[in-house]
Amino acid sequence: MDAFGHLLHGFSVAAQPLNLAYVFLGCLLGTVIGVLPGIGPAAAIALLLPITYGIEPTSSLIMLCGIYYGAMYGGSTTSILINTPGESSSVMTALDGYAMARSGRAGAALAISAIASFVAGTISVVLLSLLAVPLAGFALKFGPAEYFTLMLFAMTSVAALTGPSLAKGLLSMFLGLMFATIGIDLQSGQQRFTFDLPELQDGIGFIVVVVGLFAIAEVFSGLENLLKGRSEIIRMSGSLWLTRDEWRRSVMPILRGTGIGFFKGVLPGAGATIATILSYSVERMLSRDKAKFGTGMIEGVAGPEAANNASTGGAMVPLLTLGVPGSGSTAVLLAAFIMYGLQPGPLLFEKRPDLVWGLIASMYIGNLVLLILNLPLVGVFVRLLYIPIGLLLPMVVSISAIGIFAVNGNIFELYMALGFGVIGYVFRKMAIPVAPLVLSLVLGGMMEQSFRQAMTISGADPGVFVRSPICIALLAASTIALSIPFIAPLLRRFAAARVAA
Amino acid sequence: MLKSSISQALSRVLPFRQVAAVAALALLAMPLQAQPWKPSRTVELVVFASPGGGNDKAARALQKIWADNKIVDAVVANRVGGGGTLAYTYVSQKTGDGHYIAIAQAGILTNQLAGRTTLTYNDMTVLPYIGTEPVSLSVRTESPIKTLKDFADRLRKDPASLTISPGSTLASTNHFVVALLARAVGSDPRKLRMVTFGGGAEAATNVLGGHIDAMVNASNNAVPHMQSGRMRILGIASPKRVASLPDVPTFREMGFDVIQDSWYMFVGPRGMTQAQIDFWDDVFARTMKTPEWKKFVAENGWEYGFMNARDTAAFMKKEHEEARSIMSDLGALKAGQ
Repeated sequence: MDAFGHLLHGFSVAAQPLNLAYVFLGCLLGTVIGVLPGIGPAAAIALLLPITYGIEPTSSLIMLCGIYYGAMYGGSTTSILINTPGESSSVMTALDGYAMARSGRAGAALAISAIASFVAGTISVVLLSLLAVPLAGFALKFGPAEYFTLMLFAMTSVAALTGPSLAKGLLSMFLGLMFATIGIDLQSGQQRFTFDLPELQDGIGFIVVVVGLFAIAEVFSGLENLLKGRSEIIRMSGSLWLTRDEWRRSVMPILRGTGIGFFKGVLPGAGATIATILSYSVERMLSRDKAKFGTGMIEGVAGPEAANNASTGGAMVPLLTLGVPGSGSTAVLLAAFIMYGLQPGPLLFEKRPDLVWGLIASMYIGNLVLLILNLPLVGVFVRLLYIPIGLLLPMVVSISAIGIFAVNGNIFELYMALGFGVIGYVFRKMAIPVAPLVLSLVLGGMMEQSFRQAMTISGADPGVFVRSPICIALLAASTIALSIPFIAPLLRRFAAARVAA
Repeated sequence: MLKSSISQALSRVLPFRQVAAVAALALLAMPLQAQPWKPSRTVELVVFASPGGGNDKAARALQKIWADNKIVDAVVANRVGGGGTLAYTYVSQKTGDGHYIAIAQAGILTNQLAGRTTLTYNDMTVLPYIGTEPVSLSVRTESPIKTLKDFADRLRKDPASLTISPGSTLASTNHFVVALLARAVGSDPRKLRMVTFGGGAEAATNVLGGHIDAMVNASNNAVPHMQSGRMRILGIASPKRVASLPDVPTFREMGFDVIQDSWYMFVGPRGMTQAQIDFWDDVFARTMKTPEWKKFVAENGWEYGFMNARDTAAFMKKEHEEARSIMSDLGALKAGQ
């Protein structure tokens, strides 16, 4: 049977009333979890695992996967409305999404993120259905050297986020790289900058930094405005729906974001966050209004939102075909498969086609469910903005605190988030961008570790970074990305000179 | 606040009748001993993995068995950080309170030996040992290394000729296995080329992709890939063959005296009374006998094992000495330990 035949059979499994109910339940839970910062899909699936024990495996996995991709839908809501990314993969959405909300286009931002998520989610499931088996080996081609060059390429995109002042952007980026070195170094087992605090041994948690720099700093600013008596009330302008122009500008970013997200998802470890960074910087690079990014460009919402949802479909490829999890969430999903005595891998496709294809088919249905679930919620969520600031700020603080504490049960992290809130507030006052800090924190750690892993493997021979075609291609792409800002004006001048001549 | 009120509510719902009955029996049987102890509120079962991670799975299985069989009313609390140090420190501070127990692995010894914490296992009360996971050495199927002997020969010729991943931590029991093997063939364990990754799954991906030569970690990282024909398990560092891998030889069978298990045990705060220790001895002894626990052991490729608190303490002392000796060979010992 070909993929299409299998898929039809899968739909007959997924469309059983009971399985439909589980798809719906999973998507609903995922949306809720996505909205809350801190508790991510990985923890949610882990906590639900014991409860699902009695359920038929196919139904249970359909629900757990629903939580996984459902959470990616929900993550954008708080980013857009209160500048509080729920997951690391929604940081990029906050940049322009929140700016859109401030200029009265919260409805459009939420709507486009739901639509981008739906389109990307659906296309990535189509790609999963068609390419799962041929792509199986691709994930294994990425070793430490390939990851290092990939991180390098992603870092060049961060450099593009520096904003008007290069110095301030670099300051933010280097601070992020510094924070990334805190903790026990994997390769040597030594502690770095931990000041003998066991709480710092595992490094600074990403959620802590994001919540501090975005949400807590936002609260400080709101408080300042409130005390100074100039708290502005955001008024909705225009309809909740997208304008024709906004539609037009979103189509290509969604498609590009989907492509980036899917292929990033296939690579274990790279994850949704890097997909969103790349998508955002691609959109910025291709845009004619580069300078306007960060001020509410819908392309900056549509692209990354598509990317993070498409990555879930991609991440299912190595999970289902190789039994290789690429992230915390897929690792827990793998545990769920194993709990049912199912070993993902090529054999699973042969032994249990009903389960594999039923699961894949359920993801088509799930994406539709999420769209139907999320679009009407846009109207509900935008009303959050009408909550008086005196009520909203304490709400943001308590949601953030619960979110952070729920992850590791660690009070120290609450203080750290507060500290990062102060840093974020100072940054804002001094017009230093926070995004480079956050992103270099994510990338810096992985970049350093993969560099050193590669060097250990090669016996300290830097030639390892130019030995595979993947490395060479990524190095070339990084070079191009870095030189465009210098070459583009030269080319333009050259073209102008020719016209003049 | 929220957590404690939930636990109170739970403890009201779940009675301890059976525990009380057993305790009463124990009282009859041992009239000379102090009054038996039982929890007066919900027990906090502290784990250092995040939800879904290795020891969290075991803890949640225990919690479910205890709830279903009305053995103990417990909640699982994840205190993640410092390779277990945060969890152990948290529990150690509840001096004399038998309502706090933590699941412990070898990190409780090695963290202190490596100088990552000053907390030693002597600062805690040692409770029962509940089993172990076999540690296996694996290569990908295409590898020219066919047997453990091939692998040992490579190490003998040049310990730096192979890239090996112990998963995520250096100077861990996984690392010890290769170190002991290097020592057995007369090579310097410090020359080994160890590459750490985010965890066992990442190490497995790198072995499968041919980026590194071998990995040494809990066998459940390798078993699925072995079953799909893409990995070969060269040997396990258990004292004898294990039920989950009947065809895989032990290091000892192949002539290398390397025994290193990845054990699980429990610890409580310092200053627990004998009655509290007896209570937990009894709880774990009974738990180990349940069909649910036997199922967990089989499904997760664990090796069944149980030791009461006293035997576990003696075992710990031995493990501590061994860890110190290997870490000294690896140069991973903190000065003065």
